[in-house]
Amino acid sequence: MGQTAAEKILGAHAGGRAVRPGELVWARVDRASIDDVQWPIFKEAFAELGGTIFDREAAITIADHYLPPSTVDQAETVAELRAFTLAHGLPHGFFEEGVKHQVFIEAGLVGPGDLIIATDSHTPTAGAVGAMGVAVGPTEVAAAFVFGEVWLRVPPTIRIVLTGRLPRMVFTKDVALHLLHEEGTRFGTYRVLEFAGTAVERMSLAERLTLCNMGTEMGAKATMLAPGEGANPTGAAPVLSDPDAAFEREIHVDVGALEPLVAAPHQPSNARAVSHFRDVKVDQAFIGSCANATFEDLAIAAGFLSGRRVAPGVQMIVTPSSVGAYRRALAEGLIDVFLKAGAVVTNPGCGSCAGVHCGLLGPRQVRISSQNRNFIGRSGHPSSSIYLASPAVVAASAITGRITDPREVMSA
Amino acid sequence: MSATETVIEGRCWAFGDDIDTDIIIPAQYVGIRDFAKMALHTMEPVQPTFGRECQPGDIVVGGKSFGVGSSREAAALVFKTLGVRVIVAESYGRIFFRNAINIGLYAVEAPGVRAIVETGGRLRIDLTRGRILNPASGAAVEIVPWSPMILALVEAGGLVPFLKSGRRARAPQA
Repeated sequence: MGQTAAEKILGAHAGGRAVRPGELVWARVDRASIDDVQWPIFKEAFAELGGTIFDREAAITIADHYLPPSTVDQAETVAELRAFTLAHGLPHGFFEEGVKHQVFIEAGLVGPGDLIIATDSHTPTAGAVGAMGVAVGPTEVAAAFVFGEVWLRVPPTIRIVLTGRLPRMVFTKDVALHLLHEEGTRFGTYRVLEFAGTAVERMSLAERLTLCNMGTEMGAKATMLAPGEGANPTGAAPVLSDPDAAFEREIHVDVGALEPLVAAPHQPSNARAVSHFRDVKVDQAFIGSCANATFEDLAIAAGFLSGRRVAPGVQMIVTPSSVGAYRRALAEGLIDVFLKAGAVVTNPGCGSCAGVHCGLLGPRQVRISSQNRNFIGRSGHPSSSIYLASPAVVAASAITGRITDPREVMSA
Repeated sequence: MSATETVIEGRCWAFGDDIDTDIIIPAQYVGIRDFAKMALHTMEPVQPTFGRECQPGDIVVGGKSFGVGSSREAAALVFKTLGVRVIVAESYGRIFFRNAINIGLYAVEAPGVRAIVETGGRLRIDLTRGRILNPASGAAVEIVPWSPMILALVEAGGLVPFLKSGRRARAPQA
């Protein structure tokens, strides 16, 4: 019987043998990343394990949540992480570049067949380039810095076949919200979600990043898809599932039948057609996070805001995911569009999505957002509300001040 | 399921389904560098007094997807800091489950457990026999067994002491 891509990748990293779902393996990691948020716990575990680094090429440090620090504690944490990076002569330290999932790919650190672990729940985003990205905690990243490996249970794979063409103003974010609505937030737990089908083959890297990123909300341990043109940062040979691989299940979606969706508070699975929310007034519109803040996402939002103004009473915040996205947006005039429309443009990073940085929500404030989760108090006060949608819905809503179907604004 | 005789009994704090990491320790407190101070805010959005009233030896009981969301290890660490040794849930968010095990918490999965206890009640958790009993009502549920490696890891006190004891050598290089 054949193997899934995930089984092949884990097998190759566990001494080059055939592994099967359910088996526990110690796997050698190609990259392990510690970030600012989890540094204080990492620091103690790393020291206790002896404080030596197994492979400096594999060890990545990044400050993306506290970029730049907005509290004294954050400043102290980032200063320590930076000092650690210099003291150990680590070649891959990122303190300005933006969100790790986009930055590692832009830097060519992650590619097909790689196994990467990071202290960030959205590490499955690496599936967008055919890598196996597994989110872990800082104690095990410390162990991987010292010993070069991590324990993992070999997961079964669910294959999600996407066919058809996305209708106008329907995006991969809507595909993800549809899957969450149909299958819930638990179906991918302990599993790899492998996306396949003609709709996936046509997706750009940015679209793949959004789809794989949202796999985290489905519970996925990792996501996987076949790397496409322009979506292979290292040029490594793709690792693909065999035709006779054993998938736990297959899910089929005709993306041509979808419409723009919005997920209401406080679960990403709480999705309905955008038209259900036309009476919801918004205080804030956020384009940001590792889900939807690439150059392509900024361009979609700018397409709405060009020559228009953000509605009175609404604060629009644009936080590009990476310096790469920011610079291209700057070069192509998008930043100017946002500023003329009355939006705030911040430096790249995780921004206010994670609730620890600029642009937080006050009591009872309502946000329409391109981010990936809308848990209680996720981005500010526990009484605030977050509605999840594509950048098109966010931009259209920023203009009207209510949650708005982007097709209405674009035809106007 | 335990290699040594382990029975833990304690007072319970019971929560519902989908208790995510933003509820367990809200982001605004994650940056606090003093873990004891951070832990005072544990479960604040749903149970504001928990951080002050949870006593060493108390048991946390969760519903489905307990600890879903962020990878913040702080979400497991705050419970350990408050003296919790055992968490029992219907099911877990996978990163929380790893984090709890890696810092030496008994993260026990037991479908049906939420139906046999409420906050203030007691549970007797028999890790040796894989059984959880409510001594007051007599209701009991089974524990989903861990693999021997995971059990060894928890019993060592977590990943760091496990690795320091030399029980896992470096991975064979491919």
